[in-house]
Amino acid sequence: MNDMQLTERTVGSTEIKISARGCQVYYGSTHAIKDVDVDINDKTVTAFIGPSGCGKSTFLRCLNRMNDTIDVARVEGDIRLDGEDIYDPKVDVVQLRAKVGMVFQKPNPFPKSIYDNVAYGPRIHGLASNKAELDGIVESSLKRAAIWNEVKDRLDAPGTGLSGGQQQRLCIARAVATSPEVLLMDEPCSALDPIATAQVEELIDELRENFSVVIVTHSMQQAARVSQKTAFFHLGNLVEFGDTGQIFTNPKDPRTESYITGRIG
Amino acid sequence: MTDMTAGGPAAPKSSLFVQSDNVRRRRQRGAALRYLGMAAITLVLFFLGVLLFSIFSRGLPALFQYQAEIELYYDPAILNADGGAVTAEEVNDVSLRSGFEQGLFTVSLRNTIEDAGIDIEGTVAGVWIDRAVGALDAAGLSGGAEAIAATGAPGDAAQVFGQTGNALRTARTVLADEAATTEDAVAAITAAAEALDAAGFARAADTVGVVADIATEEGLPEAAEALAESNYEQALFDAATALRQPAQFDDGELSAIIYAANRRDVRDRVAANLDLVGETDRVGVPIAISMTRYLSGELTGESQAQMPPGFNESHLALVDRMVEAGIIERNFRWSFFTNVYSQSGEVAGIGPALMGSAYMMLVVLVFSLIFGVAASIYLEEFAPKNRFTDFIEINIANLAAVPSIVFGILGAAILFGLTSLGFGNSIRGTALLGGIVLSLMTLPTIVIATRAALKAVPPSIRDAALGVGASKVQTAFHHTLPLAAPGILTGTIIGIAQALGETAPLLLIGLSVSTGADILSSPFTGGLLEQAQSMPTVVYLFAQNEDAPVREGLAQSAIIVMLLLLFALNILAITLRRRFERRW
Ligand SMILES: Nc1ncnc2c1ncn2[C@@H]1O[C@H](COP(=O)(O)OP(=O)(O)OP(=O)(O)O)[C@@H](O)[C@H]1O
Ligand SMILES: [Mg+2]
Repeated sequence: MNDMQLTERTVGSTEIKISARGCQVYYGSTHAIKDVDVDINDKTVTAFIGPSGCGKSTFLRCLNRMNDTIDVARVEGDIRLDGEDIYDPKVDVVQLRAKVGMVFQKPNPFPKSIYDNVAYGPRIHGLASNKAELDGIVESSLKRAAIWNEVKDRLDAPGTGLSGGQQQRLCIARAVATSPEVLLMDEPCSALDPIATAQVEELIDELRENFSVVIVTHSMQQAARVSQKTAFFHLGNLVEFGDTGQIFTNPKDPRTESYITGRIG
Repeated sequence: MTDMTAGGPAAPKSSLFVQSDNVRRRRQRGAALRYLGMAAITLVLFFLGVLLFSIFSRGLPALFQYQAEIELYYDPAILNADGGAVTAEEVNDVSLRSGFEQGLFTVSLRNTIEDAGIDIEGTVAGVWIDRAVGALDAAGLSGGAEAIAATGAPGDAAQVFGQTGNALRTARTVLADEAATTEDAVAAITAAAEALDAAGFARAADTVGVVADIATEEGLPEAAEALAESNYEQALFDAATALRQPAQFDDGELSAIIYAANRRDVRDRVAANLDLVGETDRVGVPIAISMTRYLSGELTGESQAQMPPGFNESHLALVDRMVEAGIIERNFRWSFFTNVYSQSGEVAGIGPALMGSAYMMLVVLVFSLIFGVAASIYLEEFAPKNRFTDFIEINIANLAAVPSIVFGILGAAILFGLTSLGFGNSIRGTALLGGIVLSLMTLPTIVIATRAALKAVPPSIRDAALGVGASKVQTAFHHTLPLAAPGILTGTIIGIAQALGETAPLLLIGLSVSTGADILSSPFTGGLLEQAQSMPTVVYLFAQNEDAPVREGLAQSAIIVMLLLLFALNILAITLRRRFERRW
């Protein structure tokens, strides 16, 4: 773990953006998330780590209610965004998801042009009043996702025609285009080469200035590099949650220690 | 194995060039399946080929019609028998049959033919004279042609030959009579020989004369035998019969060649425009449908079985001359697409049926596409997955398998319900009702196809749209539906094609299965609420027709039109599909 260079540990803000209390998720009779309490700070990168199948994605999807789309999924507990219960029946998920954007584990660009992929969110949310403004949003989003140089000459080409890594960055661009307050990223770099990974990490760092970012990653190095807070999940439980520096240098729970030293997972 | 223990270079466990039993069996199974598949496809192609051949080989020629171009003379003597000024009432009082058909059409046909330099009587007589001469020659009565010419008219020759035949018959009777004396026999035979001689058959007279010698020298039975050897008597009677025919060829026989179907149109035209009286118009009149089978070469006319029903050699000869003179032309039968259905194949058309089917397709498209796609989107994208939606799903699948006649009964039930409410008759047999019933039938097909197409859209696309904050409706209409559109289109077209070919339900709700359906007016001015016909029902009607050329020609022509429509629909589906797919 020597190569693990930790970034500055100063948490951007202590203001709590999302707080989850007693969160339970069931897929039918499978209990996938067991009583998880987490506070996600504003202007902070929070990393979720843990072995495959431990429920990182599941929990992440609770935060913007993407689990609603799974028929068998049932979410219990209290999750608040800026103090408002996001599972309140009065909440419109469209508004919630405009605030809480998401990048999925598998790249899923729309089968439309690169331009339309990025412009879709701003369009439906009415973020641009004219074409020039929309062009500006598209360009800046693609730049932030470190893909602008590769696609600027073929914005009309289909997004599905890009390579896997490019598609993932396109999806990141699509997510940041709507200027969400929270960005949920599910293994955004699993299909990227080291250079693009570094660019995305840079992007995450940049986003931290304005947004709160939650990133699921299997790379301990990445978690250490980009996050200020780390949550370690195991078998649906939140085993340990704290400052990244503390988790990686001084884990309290033996399971965390064995995971980050590579003994379980 | 021993090598390995020996420590030398390890021999390969198995060679790539030797097939293991497992691989060989797998390959055999693969090959068997491949041959089975090829055989199946060959069989299918064979049947398709047979089907298409039988349809096109009959239907295509039937799309061409033989027409006699006649100079129709609007004869004042017929249109206004009592002289004076012609009025519309008078024209309408003129009988269609005796006045228009016999008076105008037949006379004009005769004049047209004669103006073309064709001698009708001569042609007809020539045919029968040839027949008579043939019969005589066959019996050894040479010189028949001269004998006929000597009498002047064929009728006179018939009389002479009849008498001669009678003389021969008398001789035969006398020879067979046991009570007859030799003198009686010789007298009868001599009389017959003289008759033959007088008719111009000198050699035959000599032959019969020899019979008289046999009678005196050897006895009557021997003479009877000798007389029976010659077949003069029957040949003379046959020739007489043939020679009597030309006189039978009257106007009725002449006008049988044409089908004066537009006589009613002509009457209306004259009544509307009295200036026509006394004028001449060039009119194309269809040739009688069974005669077209001779013209098209389907029947050779050489024997009784090859003779168009209702005609004989003289008609054929005349028709041949008319073709030579260019009076009969073969034209594409455009009227087939505009005329109404009729029992008479000469004028029958599929106009109302084409329109009826088109209108019904329209209704089906609107109803089943709107309801089908709406239902599918709801079930697929919005409805909760519970027992109730499962129940609906199963029932829609079941509905697709319901025989079409059941939908017809349902339509009939709706119709009766409406009738008892007071406005059933206005909807009975209309394209609207037909279209609704067909929509009900098509709906399940479209729902199933649409749902399959929606299901095939990867869920990650939905996640992506929902993830950027699109609502369910936006997700459905911006992403899922466009991606599913090609599949929906294909399903819709398959459904519509199915509806286009459906007969049973339409028969039950009173879509016209007889003459009487007329060309429909535009759908916006109530055409949907007029008595309609449909393509499959009209095919059914053609196939039931009493005339073989209709059953075996026009029915296939109508089927070709239907196939072309389906083909066009498929092309449309493919083009639209390509369009949508290019937009991924
Ligand atoms: N749609 C679903 N239906 C049923 N069970 C599910 C579903 N999605 C996930 N699960 C189950 O929930 C548990 C957590 O899954 P989840 O996808 O959250 O894991 P993860 O931590 O993201 O794993 P990975 O790192 O491999 O992505 C797993 O046991 C999985 O089998
Ligand atoms: Mg995951």
